[in-house]
Order: sequence, then structure tokens, then C-alpha cells
Amino acid sequence: MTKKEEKVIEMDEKGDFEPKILGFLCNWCSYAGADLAGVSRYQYPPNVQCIRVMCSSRVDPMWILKALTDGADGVLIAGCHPGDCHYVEGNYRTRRRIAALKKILENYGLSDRVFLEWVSASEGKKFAEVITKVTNAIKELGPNPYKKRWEI
Amino acid sequence: MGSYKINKGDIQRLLENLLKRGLVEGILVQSKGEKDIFTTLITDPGLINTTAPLAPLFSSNSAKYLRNNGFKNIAVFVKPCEARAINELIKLNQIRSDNILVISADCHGTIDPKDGAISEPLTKAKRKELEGKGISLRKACTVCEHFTPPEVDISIMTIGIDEGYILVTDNDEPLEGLDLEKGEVPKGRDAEIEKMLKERSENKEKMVSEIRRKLSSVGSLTEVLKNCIRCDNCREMCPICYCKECYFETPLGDLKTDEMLYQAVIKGALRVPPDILFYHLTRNMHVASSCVECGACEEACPRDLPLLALWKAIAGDVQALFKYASGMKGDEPLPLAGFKESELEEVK
Ligand code: SF4
Ligand code: SF4
Ligand code: SF4
Ligand code: FES
Repeated sequence: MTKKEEKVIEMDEKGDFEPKILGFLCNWCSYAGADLAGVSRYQYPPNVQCIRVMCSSRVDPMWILKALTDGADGVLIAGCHPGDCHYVEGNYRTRRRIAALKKILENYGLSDRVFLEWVSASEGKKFAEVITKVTNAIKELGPNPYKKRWEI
Repeated sequence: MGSYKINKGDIQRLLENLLKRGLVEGILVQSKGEKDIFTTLITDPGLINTTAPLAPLFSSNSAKYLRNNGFKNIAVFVKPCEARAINELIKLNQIRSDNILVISADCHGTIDPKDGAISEPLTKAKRKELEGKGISLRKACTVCEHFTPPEVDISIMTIGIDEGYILVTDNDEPLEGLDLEKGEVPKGRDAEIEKMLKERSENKEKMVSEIRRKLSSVGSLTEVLKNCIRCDNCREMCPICYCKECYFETPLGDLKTDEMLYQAVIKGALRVPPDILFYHLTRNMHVASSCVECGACEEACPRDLPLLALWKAIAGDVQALFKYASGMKGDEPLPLAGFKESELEEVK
């Protein structure tokens, strides 16, 4: 992505901050939930760029750290509700990992930029709500302070 | 199962006995060289008289040297923080538990071997004497809250015992032929431990609150990490960082100039060497639940980063979250290798 492109995404016409958020969506639930949201024509902000993974537990915490240190304003991990994971226990493991990760990030002032949500394949409406909630929360927080910092 | 009254010579007799009876192939233990004391791997029972098992010195966490080894059977005589790292590495399947006999003794704190070759535990009086010479404990020891042995095969108590030491074990087999006299743990011991703990916990609290203040804002965090040169010494000397192929050595993590150029485009410029924050965060994520707060990382750092304080805060937080104390027990499941169905519902 060039600098020019980045500017386009960061600010809308009015010059307001438009966050760039990375979303990891589980194939079996949340990704299908996103699909349903689309089919049902629920409106939600376009700020989350989605990556489909086969299970929320496939998300290596390093990916989240890489995104945040490279300047993503937020990261969303969305998977099946506890008890509904396609691989039975994947999301329970995800929950522990994200809990640990967020604990660490609290010390760096970055914890509020990571979101863990459960969205099933039938929850199109909830998907739209989650995206809206996450986007608004990040707007409130402002841009990731590391976005422009290259000293570190 | 038993507790025995022993003296310094008995510890050497025990080690000698292990080698002579062929119970182990070798023993990892500190020994006296011509001038220095350092960690050795001893196989000749005739050399046991050079050992200094209780020497209060620490130059690296020797759990690191036991990872993935093909030995048949060895014994190790280590500090509590090393024993805890061994316990963690056993749970992480990096050390086998069935061919290693772990012996550990109470630790009154250690000094850097550069500062002297002392072979007796640093009791209060001894510490005073050293302080007079301007020699202080290693920073990690001044804030150490786990200075008595964790769950190990044989533990030796030196704190709060007036004469000699007390040896405690669940398995008497290694002691056979030594004719040790039964002994009781004296009542005053707990109070003594409590006193030491209080002092160290206070030191720790101070250290942690200071680093937290520095970490929470971007500017101050940069201040903490800015001198890092990514030499990776902290990773190399950490007993817990064991990956055979570290991400930062793969093509993705070990950027060549052309890839750096590509990365620089994102922010307009890229610090070289790159990924300092990412590197430290990654080590935080990978090590926090098992870090034993031994301080080996900070001591290996050529740029004086406050790594110990950082780990005290981060590992402390993560282990508290899972009510886990790394390496204290031999068989507890690792926090990130397990789960409960109903827990952490507040994580969002
Ligand atoms: S960190 Fe604790 S156990 Fe390790 S050498 Fe220091 S006082 Fe002993
Ligand atoms: S991170 Fe540092 S203090 Fe923690 S176990 Fe590794 S070397 Fe020891
Ligand atoms: S040892 Fe120090 S300078 Fe080297 S990578 Fe670690 S923190 Fe950076
Ligand atoms: S399959 Fe959806 S979280 Fe595991």
C-alpha cells in the first residue's frame, strides 16, 4: 500500500478519522454471519478488512501484534460461540490466548484495540452490530499511535 | 519420603554416591576452578571435592543447557529459578522428566560471578560484608519471591536453620548408603522466609510500578526500548525461549534490505534494525506464562534495557490472570495449553 492510498483510507471527505481495522473471521460462524449480514442488507461501516480463517484458534497472536505494530488501528477476532466451535475446543483456546495477549497489551496501552467476539452463522444482524461497535470504539480511541512511529 | 539433617560434606557425599552407584551419568553443578566458580558437568566421582553446590553465583540459567538432550540420566544441582525453568521446560516437552534428577537448595540471593567466587550461601552477615566491599546482589535476586525450591526431587533447606542444613525428599533411593540422620524442619524457618519475602516483595512492587508508568504511553515506551539493537541476546539466554526456528530467523522475520524498503513504505521510514517493538511483544506473548523471572535476559543485554522489570510486570500479570506460578509444580497444566468451558467470559 502506498502512502497515498493510506491517506485515502484514513480520512473521509470531511477529514474525520476513518480507522483501518483487521478482522479475522472464523470460516464456520462469523464469516458466514458476515455473508448473512450482506445478504440481509444490514448496513455497517466499511472499516474492517476481513481475513477468513478456518477457526478462531488459527489466529496466531503474533499476527495481531504484527498488525498493531505496523499501524492497524484495531484487530477483531470473531469465532463461533463457546461450545459451538467446529473443532470442539478451538475457541476456548482462543479465549485464553486473547486474554493473555490483552493482559500484556494493557501494559503498552494497546489492549483496547483488540476485540474478541462470538458471532454465529445465523447472526447476520449481530455481525453488523459488532462491526459498528468495534469501528465506533476505535474512532473514539483515535488512530493507533504506532501508525506513524517508525522509531520503534 | 523423609527429612534429614545434613552438613556441607553430606551434599558432596550425595553427589559422589549418585555417580559411584551409576544412578546418573553426570551431574550439572557449580565447581571451583583455579580462581573462579562456574557451572560444570561432572562425570568423575573423584572430582566431586571440587564442587561448590551452594555457591551463590549466577551467570546464566542452566535449564537452557538441558533442553532436548539425549542423555540417559543426569542429576542437576540448581537454583530455585533454574529448577522452575526446568519444570516449565518439562511441561513444554523440551526436557524429559524421567531421566533427570533435580536437586535444589534455598537461595539467599546470588551475585554476578564477575564480583567474586564465593562458595557459601549469602546469609545476612555475609551480605553485609559484601555490601561493605560494594558488591550487591543481582537485581533479579533483590526482587525474587520464589527463593525456596519448587517441586523437585531433592530440596535442601538452608534458610532459618541454625546448624547445617535439612534435606527433604519424596524418594529415598538416591540417599541409600549415606546413613543420614533424620531431622526436622525447625519452627523458625517460616518466619525467616516471611521476613525475606516481605522485603523482596516490596522491592518488586516498586520496580513494577515504575516500569508500568513508563510503558503506558507511547513516548515513554519508546524510551524504554529505544536502545535495543536486536542482538537477540535476551532470547538466546532465556531458558524458556526454545523454538528451534524463531520467527525472527525466518525470511519473514529476518528482513533483507529489499524487504525493509518495502516495509519502510508503510510508515515512510523504517528503523534499522527493524521490529523492535514487535520483537519484544512477541517474546512477551511467547514467554510470559512460563517466565521464571531469573533476570538472565537483562544480564545478557549489552544495551542495559530494563528487561527484568518488564518481565516482572508482564509475566506477573499473565500468571496472575491464570492463577499460575511458573515452575512451582511439576505437573500443573500450562495456562495456554488448556482451558475451562466457563471462564474469562469478560474477555471481549
Ligand atoms: S532469582 Fe531467586 S532463585 Fe534465582 S538466583 Fe536470585 S534469589 Fe536465587
Ligand atoms: S524472560 Fe528473562 S527473566 Fe524470564 S525466564 Fe527468560 S531470561 Fe528469565
Ligand atoms: S539483549 Fe538487549 S539489545 Fe539485544 S535484543 Fe535483547 S533487549 Fe535488544
Ligand atoms: S471453528 Fe469457529 S471458532 Fe473454531
